[in-house]
Amino acid sequence: MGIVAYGSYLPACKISAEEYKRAWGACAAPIREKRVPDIDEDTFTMSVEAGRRALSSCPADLVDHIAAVAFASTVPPYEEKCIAGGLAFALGVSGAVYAADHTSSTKAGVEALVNVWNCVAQRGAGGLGLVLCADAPLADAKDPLEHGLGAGAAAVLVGSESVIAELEGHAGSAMEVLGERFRVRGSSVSVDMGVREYMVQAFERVAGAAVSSLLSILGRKPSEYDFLVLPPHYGRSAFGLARRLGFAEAQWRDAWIYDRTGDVGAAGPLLGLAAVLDIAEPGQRVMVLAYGSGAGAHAVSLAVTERMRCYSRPPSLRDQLEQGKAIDYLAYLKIRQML
Amino acid sequence: MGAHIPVPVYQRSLAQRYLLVGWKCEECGAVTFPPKGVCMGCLRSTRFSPVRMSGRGELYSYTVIAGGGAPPEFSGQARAKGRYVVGLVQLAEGPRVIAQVVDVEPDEVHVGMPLRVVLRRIYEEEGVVRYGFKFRPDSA
Repeated sequence: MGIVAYGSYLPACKISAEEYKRAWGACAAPIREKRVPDIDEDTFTMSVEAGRRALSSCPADLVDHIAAVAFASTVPPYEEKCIAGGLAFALGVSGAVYAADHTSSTKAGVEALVNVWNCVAQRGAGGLGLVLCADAPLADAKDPLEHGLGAGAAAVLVGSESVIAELEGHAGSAMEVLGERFRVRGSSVSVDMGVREYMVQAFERVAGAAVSSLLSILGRKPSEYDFLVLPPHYGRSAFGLARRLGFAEAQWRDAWIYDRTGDVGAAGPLLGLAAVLDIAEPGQRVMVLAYGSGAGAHAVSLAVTERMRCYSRPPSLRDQLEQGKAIDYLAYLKIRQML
Repeated sequence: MGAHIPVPVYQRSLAQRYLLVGWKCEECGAVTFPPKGVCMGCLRSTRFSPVRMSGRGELYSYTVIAGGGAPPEFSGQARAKGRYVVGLVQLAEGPRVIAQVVDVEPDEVHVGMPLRVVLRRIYEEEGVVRYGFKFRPDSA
């Protein structure tokens, strides 16, 4: 059981940290630039694009075997509506599917992956499940939290045949944490009470437990991983946790796309995974760590298979990062409808 | 004056708007899009089977809509972007469709440029997001 195909999508518009410096005197997030959904894009359209790229990278008839479609985002286009149902239709998946929406947390993308994984495993051979995650979190223009928020989407097709990366195991951890990034009902903006040190402690406890638990389940050491996908938490605070757990920078460097995309919320972990799958070779191992404020963490372990050699990869994240159209801060405020 | 499309009418055309499903003539093989009562290829046959088009094509002609010229359902987009491109797109399967051309500066648009379909928000009415096809430059 594992990943059969994947796809990533970054919206074309991007804004640099320099623009924030010009507008506010400083950029509050450790980014070089970040991605911005255009005025006619949302988490539905970005999911469709990532999904189409994943499905274009494998035989066309596989779409007829998709039995589950899961969508993940902290900002679905509707607060009530089965978004995954619309996505299944938009991707040409027939109606006989299990459709699931995962939201309210930046670990929703990995929740959707675990859900589809279980779902496909129950069905037995031949069944496929599609995970679509897209995010474009928003905060108030006057809030420093806003500076780091980006946009993007990733899609993963899960199945039991022609697997390019085997799903080896997963482990979670959770506890009650108050005041860390949240959005109240009916509001369009996320807020954070900004007590950084206290929140980093909570993050290290919850996320650290998920990683340790996964290592213990699989009987592995951090050094056995070639790649580690880390979630952004106050920018780079996850680096400290990773070091303490025994990982080194070389393991997370290629998966750390935050400084070019911004915080992509629920799509972050699977976008980081896409960046890894773009370059990973058979035999290499990947750990993906997702974190949702409030708080929950989930770690997933994957091993790249020989099958990767004959897989025709989708457009790479690296190429997409080199492309794009730079916009200024005023244009940004307009297309994000913050003015 | 905007072109009001009631939700049930939009619902009936979702396969065209999301998936570019056209009608292929069972006699001459031409694809008619959007579906009509008679084949636009042979102008005789009324027997069709649905076919999902590739979404690839090239720009046949275009115009640039400036802020004041936008219909009301597109005024938000025109205000935010200043201007936008509307193209007549020659699809690989034959039909020509009118759609916005996105992810490109109006000054960089040229007739004959290869295009690929994308799904985008067209506008919102009655609280319902109307998604549909637009085209972006095809780099592949």
